[in-house]
Amino acid sequence: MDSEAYELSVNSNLIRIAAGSEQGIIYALTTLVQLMENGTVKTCRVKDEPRYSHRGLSMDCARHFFRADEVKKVIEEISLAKMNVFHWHLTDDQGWRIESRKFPLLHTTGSEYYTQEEIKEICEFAKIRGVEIIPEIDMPGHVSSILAAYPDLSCSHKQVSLAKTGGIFPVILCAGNDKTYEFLNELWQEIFELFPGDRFHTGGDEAPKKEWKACPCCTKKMQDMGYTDYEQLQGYFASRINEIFKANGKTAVFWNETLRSVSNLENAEIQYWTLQHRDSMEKYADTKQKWIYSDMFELYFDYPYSMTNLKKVYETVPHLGMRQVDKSDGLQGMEAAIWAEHIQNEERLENLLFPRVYALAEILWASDNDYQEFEARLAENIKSDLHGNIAYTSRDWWTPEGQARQMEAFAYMKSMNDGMSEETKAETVESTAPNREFGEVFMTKFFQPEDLPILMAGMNQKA
Amino acid sequence: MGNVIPKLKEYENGDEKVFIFHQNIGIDFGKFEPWCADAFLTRAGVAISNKEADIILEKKIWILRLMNFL
Repeated sequence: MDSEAYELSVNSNLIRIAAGSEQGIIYALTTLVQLMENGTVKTCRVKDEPRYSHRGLSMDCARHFFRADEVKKVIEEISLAKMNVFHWHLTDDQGWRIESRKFPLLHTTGSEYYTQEEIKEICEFAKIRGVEIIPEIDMPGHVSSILAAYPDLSCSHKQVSLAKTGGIFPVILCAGNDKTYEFLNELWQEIFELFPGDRFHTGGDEAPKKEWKACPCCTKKMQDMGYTDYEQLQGYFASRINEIFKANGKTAVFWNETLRSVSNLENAEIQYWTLQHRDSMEKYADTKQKWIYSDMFELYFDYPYSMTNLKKVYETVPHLGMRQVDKSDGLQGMEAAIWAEHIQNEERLENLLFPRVYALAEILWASDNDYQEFEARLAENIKSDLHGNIAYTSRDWWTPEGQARQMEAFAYMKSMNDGMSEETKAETVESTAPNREFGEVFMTKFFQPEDLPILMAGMNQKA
Repeated sequence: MGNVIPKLKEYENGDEKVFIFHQNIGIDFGKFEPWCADAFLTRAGVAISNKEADIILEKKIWILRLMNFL
């Protein structure tokens, strides 16, 4: 029996569980709890196992700090849906959320944070529910919170402030200075000791190269290595980080932009979120190395239901452009992500997550899925006391339609740049440099044909 | 196929009878201390066979709390 598989048989005298590992037993007990009605379970036989091995949710606690109890609540809820990965985004331009005893300026400068005791408690909480925690320390970009504490790690050594809005900021760790890697080696040692898992996410997304281009250290490193493109320097940075992981017996996970500059990161895994630079992702899939699917147009749950409705999530089929992908392409599974720039409280967080998380959980676990049947089952299941404390979105908004859908979607689009300085807006556009395919997919995945004239009018008005 | 999310791969109905938890354990759930969880599962008639490892006690406590909801 596979490690996550289980068999459960219920007769009137005995419940018997057989499983491939402890993980399977957890799922059997979870099923048992879900089958209970008023303290009874109907006699039955169940044989069950997941379709994909990676069934995850990524939660951003850097842009908005969520209490430890809220983090646990989300972990418990995903475990009830038999998901097994909680990817914990803990650092970004807006905050550093881990107590560091080696580098305490990180958390004292970076505002609210989780103490090491809280982190250990959350890791244990997740472990007994069969959930692996993958912490993310994003680098070399998205590092204002590191540089606010230790400005010498940047190219310019200038003082940096924590960001107060979303967006992409022109700050980056100096890739040409060996002291950067000495610091990161020490930092990762502390992180490796704090979290019990084998996999750690090290970002690699949205890293503007402006500072590198003006930096004597980075320029010298480019010359020494014979590089002609600053993207290659990011490849060098990623390889140095991957060496730290390998030396410690850990596996690094990188966002897929990293593949622009380096095609072979031994033992690492890739998380695919953006179709920008899709060519490098397709080549990577050809090698059948491990990767995770988190397409922003389907699995970013910070977008409202009017842009990514429940049905769309349920009908997600992993793909790279027109090419459908599966386990034979190295695909390990899927992971939804929720970014918290625009999430102000726990109720909104839960609203955005649930029930979309259940839809994803089901397609990750089961095959031959039917949305209408799922929606009816979900409507019943969600009333259970098991989900009683979750502020899930009510059924009338699972797949919004008509003018109400348009109003929410347009309002969200309008609010995306709220509070951003002109410089940040410009940097965000320049760094992401959306190509034509991105623009087309953005329009077709998030909007309907009748929305386009209104969107275009809005854009023309802005211009 | 049971009111379960995610959907189960294979589910077969039994003979219309039910397994009754309270009847089988005969003890109020609320009275259990954590160290009693082992006894709970045994008395509830849940037999677990695991070819690789014993389940750690905490896992049973967690499920005990969930059962307590109902």
